[in-house]
Amino acid sequence: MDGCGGRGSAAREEEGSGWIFRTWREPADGAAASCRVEPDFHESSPPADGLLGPPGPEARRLLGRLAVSGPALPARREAAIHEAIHAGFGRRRQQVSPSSWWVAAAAVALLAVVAFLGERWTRPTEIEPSLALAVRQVEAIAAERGPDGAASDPRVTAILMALVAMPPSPDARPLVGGPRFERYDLVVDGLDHALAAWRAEIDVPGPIVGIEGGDPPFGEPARYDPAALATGRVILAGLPDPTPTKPWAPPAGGEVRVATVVVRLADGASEPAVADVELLVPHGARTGATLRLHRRDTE
Amino acid sequence: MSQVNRWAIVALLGLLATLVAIAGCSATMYSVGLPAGSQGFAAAGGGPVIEGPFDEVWIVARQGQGAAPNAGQAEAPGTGSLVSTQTGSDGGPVRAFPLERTKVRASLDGPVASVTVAQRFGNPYAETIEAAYVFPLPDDAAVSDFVLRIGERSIRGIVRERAEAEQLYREARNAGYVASLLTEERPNIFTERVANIEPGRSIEVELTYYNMLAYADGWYEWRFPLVVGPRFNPPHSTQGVAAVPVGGTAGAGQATAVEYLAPGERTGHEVEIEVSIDAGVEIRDIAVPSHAVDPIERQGRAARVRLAASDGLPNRDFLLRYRVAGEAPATGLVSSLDRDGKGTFALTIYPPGELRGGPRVPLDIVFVIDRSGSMGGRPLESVKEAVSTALDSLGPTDRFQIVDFGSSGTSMGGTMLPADRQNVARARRYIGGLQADGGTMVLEGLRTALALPQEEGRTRYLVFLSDGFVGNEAEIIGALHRELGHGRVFAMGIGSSANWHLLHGMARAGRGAVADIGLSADAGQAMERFMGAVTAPVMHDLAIEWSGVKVSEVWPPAMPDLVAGRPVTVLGRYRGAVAPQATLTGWVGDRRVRVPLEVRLAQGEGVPNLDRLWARAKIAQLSDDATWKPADADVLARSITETALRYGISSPYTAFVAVDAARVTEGGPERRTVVQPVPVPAGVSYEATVAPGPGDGAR
Repeated sequence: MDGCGGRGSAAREEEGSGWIFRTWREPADGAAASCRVEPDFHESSPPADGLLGPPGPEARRLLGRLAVSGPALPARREAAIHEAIHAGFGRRRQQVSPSSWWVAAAAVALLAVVAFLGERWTRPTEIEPSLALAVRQVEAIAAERGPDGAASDPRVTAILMALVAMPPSPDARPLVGGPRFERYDLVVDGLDHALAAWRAEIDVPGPIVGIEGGDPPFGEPARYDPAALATGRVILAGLPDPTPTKPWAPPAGGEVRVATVVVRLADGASEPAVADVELLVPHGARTGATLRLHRRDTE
Repeated sequence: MSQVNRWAIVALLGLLATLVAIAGCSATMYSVGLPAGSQGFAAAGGGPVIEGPFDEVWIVARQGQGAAPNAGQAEAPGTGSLVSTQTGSDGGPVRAFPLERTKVRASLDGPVASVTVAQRFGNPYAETIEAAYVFPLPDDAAVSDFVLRIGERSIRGIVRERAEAEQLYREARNAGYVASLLTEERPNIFTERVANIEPGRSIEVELTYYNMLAYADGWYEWRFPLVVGPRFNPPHSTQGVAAVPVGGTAGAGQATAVEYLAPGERTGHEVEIEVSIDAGVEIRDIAVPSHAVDPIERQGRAARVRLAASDGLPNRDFLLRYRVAGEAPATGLVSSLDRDGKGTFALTIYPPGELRGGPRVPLDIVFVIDRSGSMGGRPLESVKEAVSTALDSLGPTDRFQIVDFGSSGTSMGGTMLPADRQNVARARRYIGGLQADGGTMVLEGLRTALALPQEEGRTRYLVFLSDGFVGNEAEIIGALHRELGHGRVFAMGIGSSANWHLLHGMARAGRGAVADIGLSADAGQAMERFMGAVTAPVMHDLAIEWSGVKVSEVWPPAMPDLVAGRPVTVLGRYRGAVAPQATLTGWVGDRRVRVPLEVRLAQGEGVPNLDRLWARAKIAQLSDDATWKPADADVLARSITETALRYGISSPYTAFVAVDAARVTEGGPERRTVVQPVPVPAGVSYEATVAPGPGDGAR
């Protein structure tokens, strides 16, 4: 289950005893603010009967990184995790049947979908330390019990559910998991003449909410075709700003940003793409230059 | 309980908790263990007792709401508690509010005005704010461009269905981005919101609109309103426009609220206006009766007019008039052609010369006088002067009656009276005794007038004299459509900032015209000109016959009467020949009239943005229809929405939104909204019009 919308190039995957969690950072955003955790199951390797085995070396390395990364958790969240862990694992051994496994799996899968589509999510920077704290407490309980100490895998999924479902801190912003606003530059490449006019149709998987001016001489925002927009198509067009005293010449390298579009995207939406483009140089001649879209980071 | 069932309960409770959290309840979920065999568990907060043996229960607890001030009314502007006082250039105290400057640049090119309005908002406070400003535009303005300017960067806003635009704006605002939203509350009242203005920063919002110049008695006229007058809302109204003191928006009880400065208060809001005229022919005269202006630059057919810096208080309409050399043309036509061969035209038909100076026609005229609280002082005096002048111009074959209204409608008598000396003298005494007071129950006045007995074969003219300061315009216009019958309505705007949306709507419903009495001392002269027009023969039941061209969707579909001095303008779509034949047909008295029109349609692109003006005219007609055809309301709303989206203009059902996603502002998403207050219009009493407490409307 890959929920990073195809941008999980830095995805990490770690297999524990019957459950897997993944962490990844979306390269464009960089920081842990976009890190997401999602539980998954391996049908092909069902866990041993009810055991939360000690983590392997790779898991230990990852857990060690988790433990030292990220900010300290709010006391309320720490207490909740502690309580949840000990409620779930601190008592007698539970036997697990295949059917209970599937109930929990289905619930977690549904949970992930709902949370994925929803607008609220645990504060991203709290996910890693929350998981680290939870796993370390489970590990400590397992160690106390010795080889026969057991905790069922559905319990583990329940813990993950609790962590994921916990509300954001009061000051948290829904930066992850809900709709977001992204900027995409429209960049013309390969210009060997001044660009006299441009027109482009772009496929955008969400509503555009602004058209920003580009680099000089395209500082005035491009225009859009409202009739096309009313039918769901985004067609933009622009001219260089009037320069009565000096004709414009393309910069060295022939690259110029002619506009930036601001788009509201639902989480997991595909990337905008150029569908059609027309670039004209003076006297109406077409140019062999190209137009590309480039996502621009929020400052 | 079996293992399977127990885990199913755990999973479902976990899912429930997640859904609650996602739904915005800020729930906290705890897992606690109970000894096996426990018989029940009382939910936190004294909730229901869950019966049954559990060894594990998940508790969903609701957090308090204290973290988000004003959360219950996040969309209601006007916590209004932020006040900053600065010293003005004259050393007097100035209350600092977000709106720093309004800069208006108008280009009058032939009959079309292109106007750019730039509003600069700042933040004089110590915390990030959202600014909200309710402001006026001409009621026929086709707003079609909306640009957010932040420093050197410019972001063009997008027109969307209103609910979607509002949702996008909320999301951007809550995420901490600078964003702006422009909504249309009335065709002449708009709300501008700018979210996340950081302390010390300025953000400019620039909108562009197009409209047609008015023409009356030989003068072209360009009007720019600078303040929304305080509206009265009938009892039980919730969709009106409230007039409240500073900080009173939240309790206004109406869909829209305008905050007014108390007498003596002012803000640092500066206004600049610059108008460029290209009349196409030599300009003979230019006048700005409303404001002081710098020396006018004139050169042949062009001119430039600037508002004097000393007269920048935004408390009345800016009014510019000019007339050109030579005789008025018989027709004026501008057009534009799309790339697909379909065109748009605006045809202005000037009254044939035979109307002016023709034989006088007998009149049945009812003067309907607004004597509500907002008319106190100079406005009511102007009305008295105007009606007195009109009485002088009545002839022995005319009949008349005086109806007046405040909180209720009354009249001088119950029948139409011959305009003899005795009755005219009685009428003068009656209007001399009128006092301004009470609410503005326009419908009471109109229904009193319509209830007067009518004589077969005589057309009744209602001359409505009012500032139009009401919030139930649709109700009034709809009532006229339903109840007027064959009568005609002439609406006369009183005061410095009349509600021309109402007055134009009434004139459309009554196939009449409007006139501006204003506040100037020549109210009598204005009425004299008007009476000269309506007592001359009127050309009615107009139609245009086209040949050689296919014409469709002409707005308005029912043309108003053609009276002397006041042309009629229609906008339509066409496909076909460049030089078609067109003939105006109608009746003057009982005589059928046919007037050939000289028209030549555009070969090339023609006049830009004419299609948007046509779309605006269509929306005005559909909106009028919606006031009296409730069964078609949904269809009409859909048609208005589609038209506005297709042509990229504002409407009641569309809005502009612009988001700057370059950075998340500092200080977190703001929750504080500061409403920009405005002065009451010149000549209007604050005490008589601004509600003293929440829920009251203006009087």
